[in-house]
Amino acid sequence: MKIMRSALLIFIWMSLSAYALGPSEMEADLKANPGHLNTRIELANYYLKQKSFAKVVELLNAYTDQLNSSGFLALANAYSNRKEYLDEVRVLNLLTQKEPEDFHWHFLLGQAYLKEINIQGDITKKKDLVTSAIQSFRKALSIQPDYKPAFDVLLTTFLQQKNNNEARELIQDGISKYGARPELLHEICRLDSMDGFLDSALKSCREAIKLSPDFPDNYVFLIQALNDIKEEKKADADAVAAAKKFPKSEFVQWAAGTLFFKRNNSLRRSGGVV
Amino acid sequence: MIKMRQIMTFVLMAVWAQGAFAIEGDNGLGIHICQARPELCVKATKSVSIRDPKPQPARRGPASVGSSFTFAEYVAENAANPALSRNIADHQTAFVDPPIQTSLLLSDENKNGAAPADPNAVQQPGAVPIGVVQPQSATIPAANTGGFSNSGPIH
Repeated sequence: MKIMRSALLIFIWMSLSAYALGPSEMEADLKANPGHLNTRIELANYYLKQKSFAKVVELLNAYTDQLNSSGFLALANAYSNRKEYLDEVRVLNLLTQKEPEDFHWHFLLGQAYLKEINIQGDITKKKDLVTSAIQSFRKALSIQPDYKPAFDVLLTTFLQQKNNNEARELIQDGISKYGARPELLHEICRLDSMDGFLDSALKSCREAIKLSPDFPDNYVFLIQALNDIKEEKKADADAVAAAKKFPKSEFVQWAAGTLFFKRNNSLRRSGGVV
Repeated sequence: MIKMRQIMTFVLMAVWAQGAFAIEGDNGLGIHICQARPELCVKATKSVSIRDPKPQPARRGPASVGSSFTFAEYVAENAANPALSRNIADHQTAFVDPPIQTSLLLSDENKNGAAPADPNAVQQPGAVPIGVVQPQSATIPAANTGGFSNSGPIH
């Protein structure tokens, strides 16, 4: 019995000691056995948490042909923190090549491109990077259509690019996938109204108002669309109603003021008002 | 009863030693147990030679120094990264079309059929291009700024 107990104690102690490797022990292990890849990744993750990003790069960069996804993530994140976004892109590209059907990596790659866009000064390179970012987000969405963060960032990219046609198509796609969400209807109302898709604007703005009656911008875009199709009485009535409903909305007050100012000018020119 | 316990313990230890040795390689736990109890190592040594003749990379259990960096953590960091959250519109002027103007926001000249104003030209009095909508919105409370960010109240 005594032997058994001591054997059990040794067993427990050894098990615990296996789980208690500190960074220095891991360093020593790697020094003796550089091929211990999991120790390398574990140590890199330790340094990542310590914000020793250079150490992470030093530990992992030479092993990109062998890393698993955890190692790639640690290395890419270290580059991101060092604001070396092209290297982050390079590492995430390797990861997407290794696991091409995992939408997570395409999403991160797209975000890495966006980060590089922000620091890139060359307009041509910037344009190429935007294209690559869009391709990455599209790929993520094609693999996992329900991953809305990829949809959101792709739409934001289109909107920032003023790529309204792509944005409009994506929103329609989003409405069919995720349902008539207020933020989607608001955006399609705004785009349709601004770009002169007036029938569609009337429909989407009314739907948006129905869904978000307390959000003032939708009223402004509806008024604009009504005015554009020469439904002036309706536009005026809606402008008055919106101005009363949203006395604190600068946007609504400005739009109503602009509408009546222009209407007044128009009447003056035609001799209706003296 | 005691026999049964002894057998179970030895089986457990043998299984553990085999697994640990196979996983850890030469520097793993197997070497310790072999030094302490050589008789337990026969099977373990065999298993190493069968599974992989080369020393395997060390695979420790749950890390004592913390867990691995995850996708969710990465996304959270990105969300806080000013390079991603900053509006990049300033950089895009070279490859975006000028904003399309609609009648409510057109100048009277344009309403009467004149050519659209040059977006880069100084605006005439009374001419309010549609592009002004966004800066106007930006000055009002955040909830009214529009944009694709769940900014509208959800009902």
